[in-house]
Amino acid sequence: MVAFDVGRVWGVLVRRGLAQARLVGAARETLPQGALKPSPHERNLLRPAEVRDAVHAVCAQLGLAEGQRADLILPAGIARPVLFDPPAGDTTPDSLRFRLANALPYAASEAVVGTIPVPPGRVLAAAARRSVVAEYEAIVEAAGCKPRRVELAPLVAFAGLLARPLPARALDVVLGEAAVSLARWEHTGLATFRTRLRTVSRDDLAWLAAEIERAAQTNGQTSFAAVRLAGAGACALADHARANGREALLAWDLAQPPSGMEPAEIAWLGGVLR
Amino acid sequence: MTADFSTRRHIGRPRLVDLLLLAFGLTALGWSALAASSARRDLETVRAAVQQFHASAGEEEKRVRELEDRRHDRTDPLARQAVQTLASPPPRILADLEPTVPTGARLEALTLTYGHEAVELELTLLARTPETYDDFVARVERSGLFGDLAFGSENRTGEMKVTLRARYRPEEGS
Repeated sequence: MVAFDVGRVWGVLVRRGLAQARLVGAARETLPQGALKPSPHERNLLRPAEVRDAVHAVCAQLGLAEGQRADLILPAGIARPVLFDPPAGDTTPDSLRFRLANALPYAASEAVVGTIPVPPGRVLAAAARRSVVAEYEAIVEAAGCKPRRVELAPLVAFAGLLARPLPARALDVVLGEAAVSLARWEHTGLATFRTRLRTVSRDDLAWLAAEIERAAQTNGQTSFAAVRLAGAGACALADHARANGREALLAWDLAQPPSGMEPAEIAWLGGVLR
Repeated sequence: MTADFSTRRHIGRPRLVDLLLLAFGLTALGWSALAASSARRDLETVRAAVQQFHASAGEEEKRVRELEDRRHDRTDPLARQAVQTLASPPPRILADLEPTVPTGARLEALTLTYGHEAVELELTLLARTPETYDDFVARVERSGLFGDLAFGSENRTGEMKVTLRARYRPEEGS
């Protein structure tokens, strides 16, 4: 499994058992600044040779043979997931494309759409531009692997988070290097969902803290029980939140994480190891 | 696994549960095929038996029809002889003859010849007196069951031993 984000490429080997998946290997390569810039409609791999080399290095560290199949996880920022109630439970690609069309900066016919179920009866849907997905598939192929499934990091992360529901007024925050998704829980399950682009020029921690406070507001009043964090910068943000009197949790941990891996800093890890 | 955004068609690696379900499905298919094959064989066996039965019944029917035809065919001597045997079996002839033998007489011998037209009798009677013999002849004639009487030589002194021929005619009896 090869996962991309702005500054790094992760490779993980996962063994799926009957009950649960298990992490059996992990490798990471840092990307040079500006090599990869997630965008919903523009070219993402600005320096493809460097990204290809990073993917190749990750595959080599994991001992993957030439031509071995790999699933891909694309970074936050290439799609903006939307939480909605599908009319009459209709989640066919055409229905989703119609529903998401207005928010797409490109023709709906170019969109590859997908959902994850959000009990009770709602879905978290996202659309990715076909040409953007194809860029990532091509770079993995160029690195010597055979691309198989393609998933989106925020959807994978929320698939893992939804399996462990939070009490009412709690927040889930999934941090990608290019975008952050915030979801608020109510008694009936996930109640709101929003995604914001993350820019490096801001005072990131303060901006994220303000976004969390805003996401927690209902009827003009901020009231939330706790915040659960996963993804790039989760540990620092948790410390920041605690310092400001908020209860902050890290979404996932591993008993024996591979060297150099902080599980909570990888947004999609819990979803992959379900 | 969540939604697949792949732009390529690919066949995912089957999960263990998929493989188990596939194996179960194939096993069920195999059993069904065997059961269907066995049922078909049984059906063919039963069909063959029914066909054989029909053929045998047809042959029997044909044979019965032939016998019936031969029974009514007066030109067929064998058939007529068979019909005579069936219509006038020896016990019936003896039963018809018995009342004609008076006290003081007895049948010494009886030969039955089933001919094409009728049953021929040749009997030897031993009578104690000539009167007894005459009584026997009268009874035979009265019965109407025996025709074309032909008497052998008679010695009418004392005990008589007479040979007599006749034709059995049950359809004309009283």
